[in-house]
Amino acid sequence: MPPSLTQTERWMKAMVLHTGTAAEAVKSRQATREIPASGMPVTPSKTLTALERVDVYREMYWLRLREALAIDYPELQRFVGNDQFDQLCDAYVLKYPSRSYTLNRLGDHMPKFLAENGFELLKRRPFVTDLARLELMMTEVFDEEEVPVLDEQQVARVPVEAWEGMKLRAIPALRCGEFRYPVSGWVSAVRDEQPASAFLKRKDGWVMVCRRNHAVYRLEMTRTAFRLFTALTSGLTLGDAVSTVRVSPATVRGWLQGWVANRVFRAISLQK
Amino acid sequence: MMNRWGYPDLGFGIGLRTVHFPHILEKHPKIDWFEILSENFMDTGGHPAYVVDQIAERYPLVCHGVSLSIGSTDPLDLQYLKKLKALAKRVRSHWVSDHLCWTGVSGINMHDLLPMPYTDESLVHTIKRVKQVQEILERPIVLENPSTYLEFAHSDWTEWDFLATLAEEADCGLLLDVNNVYVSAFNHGFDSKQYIDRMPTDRVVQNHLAGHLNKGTHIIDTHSDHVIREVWELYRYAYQRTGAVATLLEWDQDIPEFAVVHAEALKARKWRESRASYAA
Repeated sequence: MPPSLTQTERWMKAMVLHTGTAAEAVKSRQATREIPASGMPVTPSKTLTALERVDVYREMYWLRLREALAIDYPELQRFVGNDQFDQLCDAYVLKYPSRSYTLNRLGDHMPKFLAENGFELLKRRPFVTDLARLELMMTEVFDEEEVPVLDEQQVARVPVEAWEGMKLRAIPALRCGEFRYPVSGWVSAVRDEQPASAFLKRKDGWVMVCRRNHAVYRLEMTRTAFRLFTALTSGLTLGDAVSTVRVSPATVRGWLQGWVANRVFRAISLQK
Repeated sequence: MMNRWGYPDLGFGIGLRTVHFPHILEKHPKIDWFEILSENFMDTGGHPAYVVDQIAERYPLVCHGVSLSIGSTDPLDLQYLKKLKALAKRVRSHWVSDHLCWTGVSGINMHDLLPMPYTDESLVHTIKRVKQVQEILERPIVLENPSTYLEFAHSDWTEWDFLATLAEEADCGLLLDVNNVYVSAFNHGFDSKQYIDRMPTDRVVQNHLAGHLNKGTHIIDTHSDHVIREVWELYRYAYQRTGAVATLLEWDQDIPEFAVVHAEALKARKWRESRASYAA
């Protein structure tokens, strides 16, 4: 009996995903579960053996997924170097193969994978994990929905006495993160071809990633500004959010003006 | 000769690629049409969405996908189809195309246009799925012949007979990729003209052209170079059978500037009009 379509496809998957040689793959448990090693379903051509023909697909698979991850994690690639990045990608894809129709989601588990010690050869793991978290935030922000944003005039129309009950809703294209390493500073330094080693030292950092005019920006924040902003965008009124931090009204006003200027809010509502 | 759905000959277009976005948005080059990779625009509300909306205002577009996985034994991805339908409507896609292939199984997507065994079972399976997809999209889909690098020993059909029968039985359109015919003919040792002769001409709504990488023992469909003379000659041969259908040049690696890609696409017009002695 020739193999069914399902068996053929599962066999091909087993062959492509196997990390050894094609000769090893064809004898693997995953492949032989579908088609016995003696029943090679692929014909040779005049110039290639059956296994060499399968190898064309096997080679392209790893190249394609490495390329996709390099698009999402260019700074991670820069930090670890091309060779180690390729090894890291292969280890990652083995653990987190694509389960989506889009390659845009392939790298979603990278920070988790790194944090879980998924790639043992890696040096400076905590820094690299933070770097991957930042790059994932940037990728997510890049693709988020575009919505109308609040401008300074709309905020200025809110009477001062109503500010305490003001609620602000963030745009979708925004992420905030707390980091153990100053990875945003490191990214800026290497992109500007400036010395970056100082950014490898342990130091807490807070970063907002947002999109304006279709470009993705990183804004470094203080711990207090980060706390206020996350409280505010979690649904608290400005009054309640301010009560979570110790900061002067003038400072709050300055931060708010800056955030509005960066177009990070989409809606305003007033609690009566 | 007009295809059975009356889909227009859009002329000579190119695949829309990110590196050309600034040129197109700033210069509004005169070009007949663009083909977009559906998956690049289905899940984004960011810059790609902005660009494609701008381009859709000025140029005819066609959505061309790589993730339909029509030959897979996994269930159809309904979420994918819903998004594809919405995108096609949004950009006013003249038709929607993808490939005769499968891209994944058992929930794992390998993001490649993987070859099918051309068996009776595969044919019945694929006909059923094409009909389901067309019902969901509420339009005929257009399937492209893939480039393949292997053949299955248990195939009952040639690819051209499989594809022609599938198109007739499922009532779908065909995207005849002339370069893919050439690549697969080289890799498997069949006659490329016989392949084209077998295509039901009233179902061919589009052609693809591209460059490839000849490794001596086999050819890889890289879309990384100019179209070679043999492929142009095959294109002319196909044109003599199908008549004028929308023609699209793909260039996906080592992409040169817009003008170079566009000029390559425009060579198709000369080849259509040429006699056998024409030299590109």
